[in-house]
Amino acid sequence: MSKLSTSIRKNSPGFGLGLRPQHYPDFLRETQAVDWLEIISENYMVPGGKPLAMLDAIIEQYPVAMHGVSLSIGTTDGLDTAYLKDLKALAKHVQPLWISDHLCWTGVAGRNSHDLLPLPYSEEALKLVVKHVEQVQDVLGQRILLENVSSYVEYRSSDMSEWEFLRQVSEQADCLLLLDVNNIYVSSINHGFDPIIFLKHLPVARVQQIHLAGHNDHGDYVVDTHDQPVCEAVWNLYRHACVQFGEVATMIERDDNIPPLEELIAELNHARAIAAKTLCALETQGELEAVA
Amino acid sequence: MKTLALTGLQQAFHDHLLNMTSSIVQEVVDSGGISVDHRLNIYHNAYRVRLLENLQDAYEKTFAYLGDATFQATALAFIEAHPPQHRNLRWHGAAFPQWLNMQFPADEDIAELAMIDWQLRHAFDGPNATPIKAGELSGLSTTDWESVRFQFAPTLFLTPLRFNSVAIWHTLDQEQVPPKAELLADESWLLIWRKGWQPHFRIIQKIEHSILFKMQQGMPFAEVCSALHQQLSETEALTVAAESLHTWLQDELLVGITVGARWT
Repeated sequence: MSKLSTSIRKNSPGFGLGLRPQHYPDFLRETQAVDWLEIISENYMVPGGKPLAMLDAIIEQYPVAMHGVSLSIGTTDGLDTAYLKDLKALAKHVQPLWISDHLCWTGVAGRNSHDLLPLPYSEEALKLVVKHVEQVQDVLGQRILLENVSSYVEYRSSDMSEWEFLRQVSEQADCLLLLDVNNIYVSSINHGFDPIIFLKHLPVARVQQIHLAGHNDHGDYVVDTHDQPVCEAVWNLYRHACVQFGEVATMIERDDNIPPLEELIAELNHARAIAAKTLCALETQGELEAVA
Repeated sequence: MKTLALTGLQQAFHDHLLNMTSSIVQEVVDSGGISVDHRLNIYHNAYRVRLLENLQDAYEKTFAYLGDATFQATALAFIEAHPPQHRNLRWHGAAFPQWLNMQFPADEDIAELAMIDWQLRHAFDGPNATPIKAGELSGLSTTDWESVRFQFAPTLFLTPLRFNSVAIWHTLDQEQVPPKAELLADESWLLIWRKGWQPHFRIIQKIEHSILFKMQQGMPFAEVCSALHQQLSETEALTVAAESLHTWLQDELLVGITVGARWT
């Protein structure tokens, strides 16, 4: 990774939203109270038309991060070079803040599930993912961010925790992390682990971005739907994440049941308030400790 | 018990998604709470729901035409028979019109409506091109007109049309009860393209199709007029060709002019 910059995480651009087509008119009509936007890369990996025209108008006004769903970094099929080429072309056009995808696999043997399927947390999977991340970063010429996915199964072949796997991948491949706080919560309920321990074991310097989202609670398990407002338990976990990682680019990610933009901005402002209050309390505590 | 290597585990997991015989259950930890089967079924179900929603979105009018139950049944059968192979979900469903043709052989209007849905989506995000303006034509000399050829929008799609699918599409678009499917009386074609950022479509008849088809093949406009003259008087041929050209200009279908190059 000699070509990559040596400083690990970039300064936070602030608080953002996932760009959804329903909100194109709002963003183009007037400047909205968001610091940056995240696009789903695949939505713009098309020949032309309105999606790319809207994207061009958006990147004139807002910093944009690219977030993919189809890299399939953990597939044993190997990387899809045509997909990577298209991703690189989009990145050249967008000049994004950064490029992210998920720490998962989406298909095998030439078939695609279009789902973010969990990997076993094993040495074998670690070695494969590290190799693939290095290949992707060589092609893109920049560090990528990998996001933790929500999961419903754990494999017998796992020989480390998810947080240990994330840490090892990011350090061995020299990549960054996108923490989906909702996904940590969902998996913690489904697998019975302490989400605070998850946060505490991650490498602070590599956490570049945070996703906040909602889910569906089925009582004895939780399904990650990203179609609801952020719940109180996830806000609480976000407070812990602010303590743990400091000032990190944070966004609300709503994928379905998309509300009016004002509702998402109100939710984003709640995130701003939590981060500001938590970071301010930390600063005060630090000053008090210095005096003492 | 020995566990599968990563390749075997992924294949077993994907086989489970596809309803194939799979040993994935043995690879998953039974950690209490919900059962292993239940955990795996969350993925099994999500796979179908995601692909079904994608088809409902891509084939919006076909979905409305068939209704919830019929569309869901045939779409789920399609999903079983056509596991996605492309990285981008946008392209799953390209074979759905052919599938509908096989599933509803006595109702070929269904597949024709689905073809319109799919091609409109194609036009929506197809390649860009800058339409030529009327002023560019007025700058052509008499000599230029003898050899001028036109390039068409890259989103242009031309296909024979057998049924009143366009009328069906429009009534569904207005959320009204569609007319009964009927064969069209005259030989017709459907023209689909994008104007501005909006997909457009209209039915064209034999004469316009003949002009458009020849010009799409690269035939110079003057030769197209000569060919028309074999069916119509010289004045009529020129009028029809000029009117077609005017309509295509208004519709942003023309994106390039070539003058002087040899037509072979």
